[in-house]
Amino acid sequence: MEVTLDQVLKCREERAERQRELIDKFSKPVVSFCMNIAGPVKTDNLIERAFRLGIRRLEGGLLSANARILFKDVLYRITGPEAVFCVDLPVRKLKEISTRIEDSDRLGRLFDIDIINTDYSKVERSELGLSERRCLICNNEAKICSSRRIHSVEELQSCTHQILENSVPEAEADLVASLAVKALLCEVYITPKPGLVDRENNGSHKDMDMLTFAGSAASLHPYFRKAYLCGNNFEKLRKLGLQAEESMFFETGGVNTHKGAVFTMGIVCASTGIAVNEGNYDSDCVLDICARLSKGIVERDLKSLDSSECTTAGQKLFAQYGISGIRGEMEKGLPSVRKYGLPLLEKLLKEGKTWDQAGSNALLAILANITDTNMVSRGGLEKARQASAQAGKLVSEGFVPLEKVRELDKAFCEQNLSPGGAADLLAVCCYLHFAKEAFGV
Amino acid sequence: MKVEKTAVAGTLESSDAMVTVEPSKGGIEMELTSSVMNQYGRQIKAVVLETLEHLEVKDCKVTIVDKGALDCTLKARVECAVFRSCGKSDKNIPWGGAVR
Repeated sequence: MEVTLDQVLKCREERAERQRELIDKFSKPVVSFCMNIAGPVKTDNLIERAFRLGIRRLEGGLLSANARILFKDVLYRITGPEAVFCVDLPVRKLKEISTRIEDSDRLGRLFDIDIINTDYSKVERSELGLSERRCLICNNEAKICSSRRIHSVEELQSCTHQILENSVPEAEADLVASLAVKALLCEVYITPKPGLVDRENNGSHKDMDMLTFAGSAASLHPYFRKAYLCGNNFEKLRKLGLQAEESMFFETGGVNTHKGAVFTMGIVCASTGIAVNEGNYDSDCVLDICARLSKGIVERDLKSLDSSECTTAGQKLFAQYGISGIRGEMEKGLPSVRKYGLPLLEKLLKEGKTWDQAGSNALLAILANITDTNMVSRGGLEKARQASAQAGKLVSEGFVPLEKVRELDKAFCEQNLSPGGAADLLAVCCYLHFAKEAFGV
Repeated sequence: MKVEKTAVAGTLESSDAMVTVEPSKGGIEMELTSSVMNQYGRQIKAVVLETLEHLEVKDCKVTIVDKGALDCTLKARVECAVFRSCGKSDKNIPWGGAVR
């Protein structure tokens, strides 16, 4: 959508007015963040994504200087996205931070961060002896080129677009990978969990502990990164998944910590990439794409196999019992996450419950609504069904206190049960919760 | 057009200009500061004078703090300041080139 000069000029005056109001209210300097985009189109999917990444950098920079952010507001306008902060920090420090961010890389060149002093004056780079901004195209001072339009709008737009294309997906992939790893660690960290490795015990497992999981999760970072950038190419994703399994097994010395998570979280990261690219990120959208990407996987991976060809636990259990496991769950867009795990996790966190409380309850809600193939392969179908029913009964009575979860932990350990599939889905809930903050509007 | 009271238009953002007009008697008096003064000071002055001439402003003091505005921006800010100075409401200001 194109904007006119008068829309841009009006928007600038309104912005300046808001800045003055904030200074009057807080008596502290204002930080204003916009995107530096030439031409009549001031916003689109990539520009907004770059803007979100910029806000993260800026807030990180402010926090690194121990700033207190007294006020923050973000606006998505047709004249371009903009954010304003009121910050308790000397303007000199603020200008150093903003200049550092603007000059840090090519993407930073598209950030326009103004520092406005409490006397309403704008702090200039030259006042602090900092070097002037350079032109997007040539190496001249930016203001000299821009005020006379030395370079054509077309040239500026094409250069801008190239920077966005090259920088934004890469930076998002880094972010998504770290959120996915964080989610895996968060899942292990949540305590108590019946039969699973947590901070109190190693559950029903003899060959792994929290440190095994930490190493394993870290080894998957490059995979989640590539998965995010993979797009709709499901075959490519599965190849990346096999490589990731090798990294994991090397790291753990042959222990299967995250094989299920490689499958589940990998598809979720790829779906995040597609959703963000399509410009309508939310958890439901990601899960819809999970279903779309994995369509036909039960047929391909399970139904078409003879029992002699079965290699994975999931394939064997399908041949034996007809349980479609995580593949079936994925094909339906992870209903256990969408309908049970994620809503409960977020509801309890919102109520002020701890991660241990919210996470362990979400785990039980997930377990109650799937047939966990890890449970079946360890204890048989009957015990797995009983355990699911037990979890279901607990959550149906409302919030499950941690002592009750500990009792269940004891019972699972005695029977050598471990709901590893549900644990992977809990990690997905954690991830979607984190990603909502990063990508949600 | 007659500048009747002091009026301001624009901001101090880069690629913008803050223009203040005030009533005066002795013709046009201009005070310009610009981040690109050495390079383009003369051209900026010419654009301002031309815009005032189009508006038929004979007497005023005009102060410009230029932050590297494009000519079209500068012109629009001068016009707006003049319109505001003779009591036109913000709503019917023809931003950017109503008067040729």
